[in-house]
Order: sequence, then C-alpha cells, then structure tokens
Amino acid sequence: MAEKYQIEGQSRDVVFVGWEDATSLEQPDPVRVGVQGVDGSIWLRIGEKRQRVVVARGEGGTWVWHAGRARWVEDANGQRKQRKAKALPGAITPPMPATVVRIMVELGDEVEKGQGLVVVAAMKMETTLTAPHKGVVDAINTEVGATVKPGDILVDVKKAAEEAPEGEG
Amino acid sequence: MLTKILVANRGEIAVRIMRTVKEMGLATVAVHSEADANALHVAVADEAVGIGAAEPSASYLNIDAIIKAARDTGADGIHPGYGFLAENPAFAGRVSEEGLTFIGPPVAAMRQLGHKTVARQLATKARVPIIPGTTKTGDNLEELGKSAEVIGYPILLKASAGGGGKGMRLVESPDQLKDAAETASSEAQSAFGDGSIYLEKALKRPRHVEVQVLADKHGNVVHLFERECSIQRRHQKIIEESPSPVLTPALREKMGAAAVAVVKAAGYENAGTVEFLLDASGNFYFLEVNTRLQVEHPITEMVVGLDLVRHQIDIADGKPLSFSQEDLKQRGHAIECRIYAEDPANGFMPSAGKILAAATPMGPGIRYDSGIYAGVEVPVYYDPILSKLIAWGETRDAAISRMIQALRDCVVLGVTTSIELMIDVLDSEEFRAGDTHTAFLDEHFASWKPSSEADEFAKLAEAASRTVASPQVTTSGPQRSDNRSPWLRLGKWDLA
Repeated sequence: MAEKYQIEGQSRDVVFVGWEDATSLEQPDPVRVGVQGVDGSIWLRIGEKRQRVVVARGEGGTWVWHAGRARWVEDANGQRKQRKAKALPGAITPPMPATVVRIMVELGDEVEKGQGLVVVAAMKMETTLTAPHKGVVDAINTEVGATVKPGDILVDVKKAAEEAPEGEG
Repeated sequence: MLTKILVANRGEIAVRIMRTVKEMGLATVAVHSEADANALHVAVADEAVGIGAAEPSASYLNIDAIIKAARDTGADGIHPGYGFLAENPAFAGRVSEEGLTFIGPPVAAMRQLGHKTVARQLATKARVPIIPGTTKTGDNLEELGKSAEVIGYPILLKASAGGGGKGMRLVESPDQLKDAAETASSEAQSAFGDGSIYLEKALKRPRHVEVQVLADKHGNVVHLFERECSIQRRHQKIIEESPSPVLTPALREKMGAAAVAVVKAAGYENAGTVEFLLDASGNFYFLEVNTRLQVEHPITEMVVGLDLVRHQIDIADGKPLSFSQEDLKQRGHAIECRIYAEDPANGFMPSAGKILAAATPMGPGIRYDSGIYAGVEVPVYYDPILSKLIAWGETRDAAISRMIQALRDCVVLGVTTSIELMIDVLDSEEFRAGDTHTAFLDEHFASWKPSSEADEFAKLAEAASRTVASPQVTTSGPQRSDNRSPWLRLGKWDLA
C-alpha cells in the first residue's frame, strides 16, 4: 500500500520494494523505493540516488541516523508523544533526572512569575526551576539532595487569586 | 620504573590513557563507580576495582577508596585524567605520601596555579599580561559588588579552584550578581569541593587560545604550540583546532614564550596548558593554567606528532625530555569535536539514556576517542561527554571537510547529541573564514534548529526499515561474549 512521504520537497506516494526494483523519480507515482539491509545499516535507493541509514528501535519509536542527523520517529500506532510526555503546563518539575541542589523558597512565600524556586543539577549542570505564575508556595515536595525525575512536582505554587487577567506585555 | 598504572577517571579519557599505558608495556587498573560497572574503561583495563556509589563524591572523588584500589592491585602510578581529582592538590599530595607516583605536576605548583588568583599574581611576576579583575577571592557578595563596580560590567565570575567552565557565570548588570554568585559558588563547590569565586572583566569577542607545555624534572620546558578553543557553549569548549587561524609566527612565538615563563615561575613539571584570551588587535591576556591533560590534547598530538600521555608518564618516571623546542614543528591542521549527550536545540540540556547504536568513523587522518558502545547506559551523574572526534588535514580547509564527513559517519543513537549542530557550525561561512570568538555560537547559532528536511527523510527511512527483516544494529559491547563466531571457537584454533 502506498503512503505519502516527502521526497526532494515533493509529496509522493511511496511503496518499498526490493533493491533491484527501484524506479526513477521521473516515473508516475507510486515511487518505488528500493530497500536492503547491509551490515547493520539500511540502504535506500530513491530514484538514482542511494542513501545509507542506521536505525535503532527504542521504546515507542525508532531512532534513525542519516548523514550525521539523528531523528526519533514515534511509532504510528499507540499513543503519540508518549516519550516526551509534557507535564502539566506550569508544573514545577525537572526536565530530566536530576538532584535537588537548593530550595530557594519556603512554605507560604509569595512568589512572582519567573522567580527561582528550586535549583536542580544533572550531569553537573545546574538548572533553576521558576514559578510559572504569581502565587503562594503551597507545598514543597522535595528536599536538598533528593533524586528527582520529570513528572515529579517539586513545588506547588497556588495561583494568585484570579484578579484582573494579567495583560501580556 | 613504573610498572602498573591506575587511571583515576572514567569515560573516553580513561580509555585513551590506558591505550598508551598498554603500548608502553605497563599494566592498567581501572576504577569505577556502581553506575559504571559495565563502562568501556572497565572493559579495556587489565584489572578493575569498584570504588563506591554512583555519586562522584562516593567514587571518583573518593581519595581513600582510590588509594586503597592502588594498594590492593599493586599499582605504582596514578594518572588522574581530567576533571574529578586531576587538579586536587590534596589528592596529588596523598598519592606521593603513599609512596606512589602521581602522573602530573608537583603539589606545590598545582596548588599555586590551581588557585586562579594566585596564578594571576604569578603571571604578573613573569611579566605576562592578565585580564583586569580581582587577584584575591571575594567571598562576600558586597566585596564582589564593589570590585565589579570598579572594573565595570560585564564581568565574569569564576571558580577559584575551577576549570572547564564549571562555576563560571557572565554577569551583565549589578542586579544579576547575587543569583549568579550563588549558582557559580554552588557549582564550584560540587565540582571542585571549593566554592570560592573571583571576578574578571569580560572582554568583547575574544578568542580562546591556549598553549600546551611539557616540563621535565630536569629543568627543560618546551611549548607545543597553541590550540584555539573559541567555539564554546556555557563557557565550555565543543570545537577546538590547532593551529589557530589567526596566529602569526611572531605572535605564536611570543605566546609560547609567555606560557613557558609562567610555568617556569611556578616550578611546574609534567604536561600543562596555559590559557589566554586574544583580542582582535592581537593582545593576549593570561587566563589560567590547567595543571593536567586537557580534553582537547589530541589536536596537539596530531599536529606535533607526539603522544602527550607517554611523555607525561616518562616525565613522572624521571626521564628527561628527548627533544628541544627547535625539534618541534606544527604539521597540517587538526580539529576536535566533542560529542556530548546534550540537546543543542534545547539550551544544551544534558540527555541521559541508553546508547542503542554506535559506529566509529574511519579513514585517513581520523581519530576517535570514545568511551561508549552500543548498549551502555549514559549515567546522569557525570559530565555528559561521550567521545571526541579528531580530524587532521594538510590544510585547515581539508581538515574541516574531513571532519564534516567523519561526523556524518559518527553514529550515536539513543541519546541526543551535538553532532548535527557541529556539522552545521563547521560548514558555516563564518567558521570556514576562521572568524571565531568565544561568543561565536551565541552570535550565529543561538536559534539553531535541526534540519526539517531530515525530519521528513527519517520518516521515510523508518518506514523503509520496517520492510527489511530485523535490521541488525551493531551491538558489539565490551562484555566478553560467548556468541563468538565459530571461527574463533575451533578448539586449539581459539584465537580469542
């Protein structure tokens, strides 16, 4: 079954065929792309050109290497975006597994939008997690030295009472 | 005479050091944390000793455990690599007290130069220009603030004990000082065990040019020319080259002589690097001395044709240098690309995970110093450097083209790396023109994005890969495998 892919900037119907059965790009769709596995890599024959890629299956998708550019291609079936599950907007959570270095606020503190709350370190680099909005520190769910991961909510900041909507400016 | 060398480090540098140690006919001992039991440096060593938990303080910074590992294995020399304990005088001192040989400078020289403010005083004495800044450590915020006002913003906060960009922060205005000082100090504390910081005036668009030196125990000191390391993010180098595209022979000689003067003033021995900033008018300023092997040492090795680790070991063993300054020549041009597990499209955030595929670029003039293999986990506890790719060419242009080709073959899948960005940097007009300075990436590549064309191609390639019966990804790990080819298991013909 033919599927649409971008080839040389054009959307084309593509079918994958044996190496010898590849066709030129000048011919009408579907484009027959030749494929063979060679020595740990996959060779593609698209029109007159051949390309070599390396793939590695991961959880929920596949890594593809082509000429120095690595891409993560998510599986078509299953939930998309499960790998980079974005936490709730505004959640104060580390971007990667990390260690808590400093907690810069205390319970009940009033904080401004953008104010630093917690500093985490991963691979020796420090990152400051900031308040997503103005509000009051409602809970501190971590301590200095704790190992934390994305999705762990380190600090809760209760939004300031819904006054006049903040003008973006 | 040294017979067995323990490498107190991990990753690519431990692997690289052990290569030379083996070439010299000496035995190798690796140490590793619990997170690194299956790391490449463990697999290539003759012996390996677990020294503690994953946290660096429990393992790679654990002096007692490392000394015990040396004792238990009968190692008589310790090479510290770079980072961790490499510039820690307490460690170097302890190694000597235990009657072992520290492959690095004498403790006194390391202590003086390791303290950046003392080093600045030393450079002044040696009549080498320094950047305006404090020559003492300003521990309290008020004093830092006053000094900053005198020198004028922007200023750079730096760790007194530091190097490698850790604990360094650019401060553009007084209101940023407090936050920056706290972060810099805390980063310095965790990286070096010393949270003291000082400040320097931040120069406009300087080049980072450093000079490699070798000094033996007999008073011979030579320099091995320069490396330019201007391509940096977060004050950490990612692309280095030698020679610098802008040094004239006269300036090269002047900077080489300045480097030799500084290390002589400090009574230095072994390999070291004197770092300078070079402004657009050809004025250079002393920055600091790194009292260890540098990450980017291979480019010097490529252009001068010497193995620095071999000379480090010979010097530590008391041998005099076998050549003089006049014997040294720069041949051709070498570039290094550091391959970090990090996401250049996302503020260079480190990325951890399992390496799913890894391939080694090959070809004339290509060298790959790697600490990874397919199947290994990249731990979150350490610096995210995976490997270094080095390309040598007859000219700078040839080296650039060769590096781009090699990066295209340098497969790393499973974690995000800086490879794609580096290809685009090397291929840029500005880099080709040699118009490099320490703000190069911020100026030209701040809004860099991975190619969207490659996104589309990857979708096609992924679909194509599904039509081929289970594509085999190279998974040759360092673990001794029982699935060897039958040709290697034929009774007395066993070749392994």
